[in-house]
Amino acid sequence: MQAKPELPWEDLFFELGESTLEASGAAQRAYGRYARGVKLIVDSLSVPVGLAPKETVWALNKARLYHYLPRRPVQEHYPIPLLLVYALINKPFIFDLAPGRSFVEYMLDQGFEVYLLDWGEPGPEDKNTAFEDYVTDYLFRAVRRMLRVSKAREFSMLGYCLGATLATLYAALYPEVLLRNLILLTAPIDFSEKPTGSMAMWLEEENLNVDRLVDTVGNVPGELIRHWAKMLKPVENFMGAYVNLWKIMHDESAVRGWQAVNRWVEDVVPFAGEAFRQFVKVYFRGNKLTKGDHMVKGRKVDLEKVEANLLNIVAEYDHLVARSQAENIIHRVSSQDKTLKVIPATHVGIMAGGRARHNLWPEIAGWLAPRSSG
Amino acid sequence: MSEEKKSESDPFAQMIQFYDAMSKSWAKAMSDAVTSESFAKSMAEQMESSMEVFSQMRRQMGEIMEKYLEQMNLPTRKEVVNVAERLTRLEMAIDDLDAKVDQVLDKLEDRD
Repeated sequence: MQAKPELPWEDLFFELGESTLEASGAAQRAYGRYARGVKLIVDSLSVPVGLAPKETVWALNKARLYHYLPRRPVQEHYPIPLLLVYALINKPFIFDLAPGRSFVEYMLDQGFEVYLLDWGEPGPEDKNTAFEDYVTDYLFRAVRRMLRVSKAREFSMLGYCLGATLATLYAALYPEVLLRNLILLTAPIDFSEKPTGSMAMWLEEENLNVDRLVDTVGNVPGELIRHWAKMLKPVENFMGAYVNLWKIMHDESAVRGWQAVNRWVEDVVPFAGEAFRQFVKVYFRGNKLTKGDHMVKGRKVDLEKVEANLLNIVAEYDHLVARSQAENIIHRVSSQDKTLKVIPATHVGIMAGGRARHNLWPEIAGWLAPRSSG
Repeated sequence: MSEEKKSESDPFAQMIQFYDAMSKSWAKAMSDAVTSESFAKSMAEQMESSMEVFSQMRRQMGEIMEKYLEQMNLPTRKEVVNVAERLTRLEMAIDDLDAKVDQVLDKLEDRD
């Protein structure tokens, strides 16, 4: 900074000049930060995710079953493998966002043998795949393969969001397969109550002509479902997410986490048309999963047949799956060992948020470990 | 320059401050608005009208393309989709056979 001049009119000039410089410096800094923020958002769409080393042990159509390579000596492993099942919308790398932010890594470190079923991205040839087909045609075969590869007789299954609905459907349809532990995470299952303020209202018969939608578009575009999900909390999703990025831009590690989550949010997959139609009409509007009279390929869907140890985890601030939709299953299954756990988190934050490592992940590992011995 | 002065001259910092001050009340008001009955109705009407236009366009385009591909002696989308569906069914059959072979091998091993 230069020395102040002595003449009074020069004082005025000096102050004007100084404030102009300050303003222009601040504007430059603000613009630089803004430009960096935009770059971080754009880069987030290609940030590497799902990096935990794995091998493909089964494939059918676009579905893949991955076996994660162990991080501890095999003799230290629990003998009961864990299968992760994610929803039909978005991609399953939410379980393995980035090194250090990976539920998969965490469970491997705890000594679990981890498998992940990736449904893949449905194409036009999959538009006739029904919701139930994902269980009878895909999940059933993937489990069979996993048991073969792991040489185990029993297994544990963790379903997240609609993946939990599919996992529950599986458990109800195939009681003869030895499912020892079932973990449901934010599971939309019981739609007998349709609370206001959720997506439920948009799926009602008078508000969505699901036949017209599916007959027109075939597979329901992932972008449409993402838009619906974001619309439920417009301020948080369309503004808050970017405000958060602005606030954490000085922290490289936090930025990497934000980018991985943003990629997951934006990286959507279409919902197979028939599966969407069936989910809305049969499972959501008809609430058939809980009624005990629904038949799937000659088998009765009966939740009372579910005897696996059950850990049902509900996210307290879930705006996509209402609490009643997720927690009521605990009263409908026959499991002797069942636990309901409410975690103060959002639907996505429960698995992908910064606190997941300290609340959800240890909760799951701690519950599963004593139930996974031989 | 003091932090206060910095944020005064940084337009984005001011926007963030404004957002922080207002976001809770906005978020509640906006969430209530988009989950109201009237919003759901208006969204349904918009979707219905766009679906009507889109389905007509798609049908007409589909018919034109189908005729064109037929004349060019090329498979239509429907035919390609049918082949892909059959491939998936074949994959399933092979997967089941594979599992049966595994079972037989296990039994043979047990016998030995």
